[in-house]
Amino acid sequence: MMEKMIIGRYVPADSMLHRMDPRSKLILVFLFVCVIFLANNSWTYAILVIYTLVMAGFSKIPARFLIGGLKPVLWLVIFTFFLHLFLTKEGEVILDLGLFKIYEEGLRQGIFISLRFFLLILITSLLTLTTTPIEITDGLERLLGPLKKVKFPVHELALMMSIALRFIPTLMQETDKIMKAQTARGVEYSSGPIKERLKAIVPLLIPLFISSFKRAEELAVAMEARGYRGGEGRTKYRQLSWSKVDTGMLLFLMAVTALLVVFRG
Amino acid sequence: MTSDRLKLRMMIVTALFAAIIGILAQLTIPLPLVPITGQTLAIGLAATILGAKFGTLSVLLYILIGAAGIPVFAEMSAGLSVLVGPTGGFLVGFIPTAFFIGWMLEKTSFTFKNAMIANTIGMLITLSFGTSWLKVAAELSWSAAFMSGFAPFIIVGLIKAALASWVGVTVRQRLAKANLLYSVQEPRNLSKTV
Repeated sequence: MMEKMIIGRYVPADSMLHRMDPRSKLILVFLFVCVIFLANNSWTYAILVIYTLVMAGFSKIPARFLIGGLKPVLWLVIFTFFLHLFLTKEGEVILDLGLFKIYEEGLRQGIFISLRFFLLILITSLLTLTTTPIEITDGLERLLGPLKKVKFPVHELALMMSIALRFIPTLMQETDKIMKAQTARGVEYSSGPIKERLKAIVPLLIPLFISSFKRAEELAVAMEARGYRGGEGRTKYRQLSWSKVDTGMLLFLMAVTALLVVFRG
Repeated sequence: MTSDRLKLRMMIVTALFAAIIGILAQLTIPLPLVPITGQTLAIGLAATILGAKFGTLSVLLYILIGAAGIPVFAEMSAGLSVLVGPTGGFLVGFIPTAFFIGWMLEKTSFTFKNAMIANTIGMLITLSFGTSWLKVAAELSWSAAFMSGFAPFIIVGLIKAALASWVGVTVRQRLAKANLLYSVQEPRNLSKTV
């Protein structure tokens, strides 16, 4: 579990998608989320399914990781499927259950919307499966770079994101330690009356916040001692490089978009 | 403390709070019928302790690290895929929620009553965002989206809001007593620094 807290969902492999620039992957995902709303008939959904499968193939990620990403939302997608199935009252009746009638249009809508969610989840999963959280942070910082002109604190945001990523495992251990320490002092987290269990949150939170305020102070002093003076003129240890593959992938998605525009009904 | 030094400290505290939201979101408080996750609680806490600006930032960071793949969302889920899934709107709604809670408490005072009002309206903001995204992404009618994304969560939301208010105000008082809230002691100063 601790490992997941450090590298996230990243699955190391040597594939085209792994080698791509995080910037282009972020742009691709963003465009895909917009483009998917163009699909409205079987042809356009077929194009998107093929596109998604091709991308999944490029990633060399074992299917079980991709399916794992679908799990948390599976029930909700099934729920929306049934909502459409029962609430849409257009087209011909294909099944009469007495209380409910299932209409052709409802079935169609249900399948399309579920498919939309599955495709969205698969493509966005590909991003997090082939890119480490820190790469995503770097990519975001560079992509949002132009916003510095309107005084949006891009560098600060990226720095805070790196700090949050860095300290999640540390603070998790800390939380665990505090819970154990308080349990040893007689605080009950998993049994006893509800009121007592709710009250037990406070002796967990106070030490956690106090220690994080202390950590913040220590880290700030350490950064100042090393001459941190904000983002201006700061150089980067990790460099991003845009390659032909990145441009190619963007063109590929644009071609797919063009096909969608042609085939949508 | 000079403004640059204060700014750096607030940035780090905000980042650590984002991590704390992620950790608290994994804890469940067992209540009869509906177990409450620490997520809503942590959002309210961040806004109550850090104020509108930094509270909102820490919630934004929480969502960003979750989107980047760290399993900080409810039930250890992670990734941008959660944000674009049917429930993604609720997560995005936490950002304006945190802003509203922080803003209202800064404008009024940090009492349980105000916190309760702020957290309740905050809950409604979260639910509105969640329902709107559900409507658009799942192409539901407004009534169907309301029935599945809004109505069932109002009662639970009120319980969560009460809990978040009580914990938020209590923790804040204790931290203030321990003289740890340098962020909030100099609010005017701070608004100029970033």
